[in-house]
Amino acid sequence: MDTTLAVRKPGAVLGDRLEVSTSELSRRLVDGAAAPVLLVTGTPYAPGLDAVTGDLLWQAGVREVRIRETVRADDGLLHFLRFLREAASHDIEVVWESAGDLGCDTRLLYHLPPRAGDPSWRSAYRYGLCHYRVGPGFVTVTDQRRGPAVPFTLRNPQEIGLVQDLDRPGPSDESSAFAGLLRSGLIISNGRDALCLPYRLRRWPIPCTVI
Amino acid sequence: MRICLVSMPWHLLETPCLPIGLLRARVDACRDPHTVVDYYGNLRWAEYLLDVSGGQIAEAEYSYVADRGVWHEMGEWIFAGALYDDPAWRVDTYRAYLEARNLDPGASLRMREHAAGFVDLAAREILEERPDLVGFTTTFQQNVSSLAVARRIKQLRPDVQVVFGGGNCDGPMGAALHRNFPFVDHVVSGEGELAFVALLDALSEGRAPAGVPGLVTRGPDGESVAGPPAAMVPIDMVPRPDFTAWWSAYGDGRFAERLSPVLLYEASRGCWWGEKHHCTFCGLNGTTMKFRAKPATRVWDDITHLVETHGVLDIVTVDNILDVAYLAELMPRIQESGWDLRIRYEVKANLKPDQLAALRDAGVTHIQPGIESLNSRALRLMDKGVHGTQNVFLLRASDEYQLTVDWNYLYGFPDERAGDYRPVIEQIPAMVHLQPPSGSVRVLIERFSPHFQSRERGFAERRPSRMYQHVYDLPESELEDLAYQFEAPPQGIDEDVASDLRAAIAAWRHDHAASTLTWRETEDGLVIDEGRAGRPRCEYVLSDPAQARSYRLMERPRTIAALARELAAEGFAMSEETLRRWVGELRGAGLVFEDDDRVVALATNRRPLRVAEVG
Repeated sequence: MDTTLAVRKPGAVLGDRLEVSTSELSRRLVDGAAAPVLLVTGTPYAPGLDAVTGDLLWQAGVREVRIRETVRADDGLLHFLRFLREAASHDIEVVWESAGDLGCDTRLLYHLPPRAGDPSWRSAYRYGLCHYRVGPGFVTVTDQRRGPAVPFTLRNPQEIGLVQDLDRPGPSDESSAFAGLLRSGLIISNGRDALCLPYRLRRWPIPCTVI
Repeated sequence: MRICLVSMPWHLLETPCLPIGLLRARVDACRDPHTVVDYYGNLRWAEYLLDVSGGQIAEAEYSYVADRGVWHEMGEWIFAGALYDDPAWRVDTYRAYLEARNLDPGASLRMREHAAGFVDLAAREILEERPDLVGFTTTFQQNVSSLAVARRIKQLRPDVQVVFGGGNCDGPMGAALHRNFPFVDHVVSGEGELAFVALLDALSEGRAPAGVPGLVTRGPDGESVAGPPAAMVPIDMVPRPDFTAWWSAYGDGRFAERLSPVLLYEASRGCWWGEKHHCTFCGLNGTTMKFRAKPATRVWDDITHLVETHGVLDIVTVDNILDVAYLAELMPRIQESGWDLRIRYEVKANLKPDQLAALRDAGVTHIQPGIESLNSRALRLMDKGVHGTQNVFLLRASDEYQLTVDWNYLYGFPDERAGDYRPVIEQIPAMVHLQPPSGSVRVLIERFSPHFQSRERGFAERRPSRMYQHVYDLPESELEDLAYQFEAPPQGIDEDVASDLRAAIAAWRHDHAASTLTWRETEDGLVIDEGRAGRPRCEYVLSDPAQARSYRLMERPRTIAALARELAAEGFAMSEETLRRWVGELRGAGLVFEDDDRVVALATNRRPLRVAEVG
């Protein structure tokens, strides 16, 4: 055996980066044909993205996703925010930029990977800023997007149902539970569809006591 | 009878009081029915401080005294003025003690000014419950606040029976407390589940409780009369804790909006490792080392009940060591629940990867493995039963399994040598990407530990810790029985080595957040990404399959000879000399840790998810 330790400058190793389109991303992840850095082409809210979960990205060893196309405030935005939320749930970096205003209060998104050129968002972001945990018949929500706050508990089955159902964009409704979650910023709506904003905490950081 | 169970400062604000939860449930075993009310003096004191300080003395100041002050009797000093009716009681002694150690007093001096007023308030609030008997549970810094309130209760209502129990009453400490504080009628010394019930039965039947096992009571002339030692409590008699009264007090109080509640749970008592090899410095098991664990089904039922009742997913277990059977019998059941629990557990450090995975999958996110040292000889002196490389393996694997590790580096053991520390100090810069110890301290002498029990172990000239001097008006002969912590002339390494160790650990803590060292398989072979503070970024490329395989085998600690055999068995035959040269090369780059002829890899298999502490 050669007992010399080879050292080289850090740099891209062949296979470290992979270009993939939004429509085929989930299939690539399922097949295990991913790379630590994904360069994603195509519309950032293509239906294929809805199949991408945080677990899938994590298990495929993805560390960073770069979205090539500019994100716009239109009907597909909720699907892109869902993708950001999934990446955030496993602390996977997403590099993306938006064209102008996203049409919503971006402070509600401070728990998601920040967009390029938004220093307020970048400085506010940290893992676990807004998440929920599931218990028997209740859901505990930690929401520190507006500053330090202790967790609170949802026990209303309708509210818990909405948190689960709006894991993917789904129709807005007229219920008081919906209105309450909307008011508290736990769901975001474009008038027709809505999305649950906090992610379920799947990975505990080190130290686990800080979130 | 009407019974009031009291938990005084400095019990944490966000956790229920486990002894009260247990005794509440045990009162059902009494012959006569009793009414039990709880009084959470810790919560009331913190609220009182908020009020009298206009919000300036809040939970952070309380926690400082509870967490840091415990090593210096800070909380006990705060209430000592009230106990002795002297606001100036040992103020100068306290200040001198802090100054000599360069310690921040926190808000302790301001708190002292309010202690007497609160003691009177607490006594009156307790008496508003019209109790026949008041029971104080005291562990660590709960002695003096409890004594001060008990004394005031006796002044106001001499007929009320006052009982003390808890960790501070174990062994000679309970008898000393009883002997020196005549307003304490009874002390339950040792585990309380049987003795407390027997005491209540005797009192409600009008009998003198003298002779109850584990009880110290008063004779006809007020003298201390100790019953026979308490029998060990079978684990079946340890009930599911009843936290309902605490939950109400907490929810109605002012801290529910300021803190996140954490449940406490006790699945076992004693220590199965300590039964075989008592770690030489550990006194935590008091007079009962025998390990007793609830069956996993009962633990699961209890946890289910507590989580459902209180809607709280954070649990700290108070067990001194995880029952290994729980890994197979309890953890999978917790995992199946699908609940997002966050559990803290004390474990033995020799856990294997599949066991760490079982813990993580069940929601055990936080472990205290009793690492204490990274040197095998020092660990042997402590009778820890692990090698230094096993401890380093645990630190590395904890990052890989995303487990938070609490640990401390201890030194100052008799017969240790500089040579047990220098090689570790030299290798610490290579480990800065792993979770650092919270600090390094000279070992304390705890009552009940082997260091305490036998003076021939090297601490012959021990005496009660100096911190008791700013608290108690007692001669040293009485403190000898009342104290839990002792000190003695330093043993083991000298201050030069100790300060080098502390400096290396301080640098470790400083550099940790910015450091990673990860490996990955690539088409070029096994590549290790250098990301540790103080080293230039680079990649180490183990392109020779024998190099890569050897590094993977070193993920678990191995002797060089064992490693050579395993490599040979896999078709990578090489001499031990060649292998040693290769390991030396790896050590030179800080990619492995070596101790006692064993080696373990330092690079983790992926980047851990870290979040910086705020503030």
